[in-house]
Parts: sequence; C-alpha cells; structure tokens
Amino acid sequence: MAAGEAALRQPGPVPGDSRGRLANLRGRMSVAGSRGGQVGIGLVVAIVAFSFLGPLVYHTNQVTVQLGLATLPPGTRSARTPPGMTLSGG
Amino acid sequence: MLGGQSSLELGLAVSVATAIVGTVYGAIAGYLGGFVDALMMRVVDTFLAIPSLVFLLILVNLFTPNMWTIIALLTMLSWLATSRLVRGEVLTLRTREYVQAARVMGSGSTRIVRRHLVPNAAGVIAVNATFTIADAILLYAALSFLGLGLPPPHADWGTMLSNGLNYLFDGYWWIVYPPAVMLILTVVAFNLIGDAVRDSLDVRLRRR
Repeated sequence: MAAGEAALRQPGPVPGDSRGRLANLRGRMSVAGSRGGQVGIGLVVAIVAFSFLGPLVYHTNQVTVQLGLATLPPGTRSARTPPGMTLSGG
Repeated sequence: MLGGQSSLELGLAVSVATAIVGTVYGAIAGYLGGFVDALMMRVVDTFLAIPSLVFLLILVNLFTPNMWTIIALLTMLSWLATSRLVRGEVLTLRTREYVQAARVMGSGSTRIVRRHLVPNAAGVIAVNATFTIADAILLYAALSFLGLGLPPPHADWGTMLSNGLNYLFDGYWWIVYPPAVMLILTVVAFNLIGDAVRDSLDVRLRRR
C-alpha cells in the first residue's frame, strides 16, 4: 500500500503533457547507447571533420586545374601531395 | 573535402526544411480530417506517383541550379513522406484524452496542434529527419552525377564520381573510389543514427 502511494508520488512525465513528453523523449533518445548509433555518430563526426576542418589544413585551388596532373596517383609528385595534386592543389 | 561540405550542408538543410514543411502539412491534414484531409492527401499521392528522379530532372531544367534552388527542389520531393507519417501520428493522437481535455478547456486548434500534437509526434519526425539527410545526399549525388548539380567551382561527390568514371577503366581507381567511399560511409552513418534513434524511441525494442 505504502509502496503504491510512493510510486504515485514519484515525479515523472504526466501522460499527454507535452513538456513531460519532450523530457521523456530526450531521456529515451540515448542514441549513443547503441552500437549502431555509436558507429554512426563516430562516422559523421569523422566525415564532418574531414570535410570542414580538412581544407583548413590542406589547401587546394578549386578554380585553376592542371589537367596534366589530374590523373596522377597519390604521392607521385611528393609525399606532401596525397591526392595526386601539386602543392597549390592543381 | 570540399565535395563533402556541399553534400553535408545540403543534406542537413533539406532535412530541416522537409521536417518543417512535412510536419505543418501533415499536422493540419491529420487534425482537420474529413474532406480537407482527403484533399490534402490526394495532393500528396499525386506527387508521390511521379518518379522522383524524373520529376527532379524536369524541375532542375526549369531553374538555374544554385544551392538554394537545389535545396528547395529536394525539399519539394522529400516532404511528402514526412507529411504522411506526421498525419498518421496526428490522426492517432487527436483522439487521446488529453487532446479532448485541452479542447474542452477552450484551447484553440492552433494551440492544440502546436502544444500537444506536434511535440508528441516529435519522435517520428526526428527519425524521419535523420533518414532524410541520407536520402537527400544520395539524391543530390545522383543529380550531380547526371551533370545537373551545382556548377563549378563547386565540388561535390556526384560530380567527382561522374568525372572519374571516364578514367576508371584505365586503372585510375584513386579518382573514383574516394568520393564513392565517402558517399557510402555518409549514407550508412546517417542510416545507423536513424536506426538508433528509432530503436531508442521504440518501447518494444528498448532494453529493460
């Protein structure tokens, strides 16, 4: 009986209350808890870092392209040009 | 690197726009019901009946491609599924006691939709938005692959794949594989996140 009353007094989201529902939703959205979610978040973080932070480190010239060098394999000209480009990105 | 920027920005923008448009449309249709719902859903059915890539190719030829027009065009194709999902959820939610209680207490339709129905459908919207990012990135890559993406000097994975395909059979794998791998990894990553969000919201799949 007492346990039942204690359970009734426990704070929690009231069904239908949108604020409580949202709080409940946030609690349940523990995406990082699942293996797939962890892998997905890790991949997205890596791709975002590669795409947005990469150009700050490795500068390329997107306007002037040297077609003669466009098909060179990675590292042909030097170890500092991994995608087969010149240092200017051509 | 720069190809990833435009794909990710576009995918995220389309997902947000799709969630907003689809939610508003689906919530209105689901809440009002009756003739209005039937009419609004027939409009959605009509657009869903048209193959998306064909529809997109026609639209892209009508507008000058830039970032905003591509986002608008992809949103025009993506909001349909979201609106159907939200409408279904709202149809279920609007018969609940708390919605009836809100109505009895004098809440207007706008307030009921905004404060009670849409927040309770947030799970469905969040899951769908995550999958929409992956779909939008793939659709944009397909568009770029066909040469209808953003013009140079914009770079994107679809255009890189298209350009590299000419060299692939000559053994220049390093031109094609990097954008293809990035595209696959991005789509897989967003699908994994979408699955995880869906599982975390599904009571039956949650660990006790």
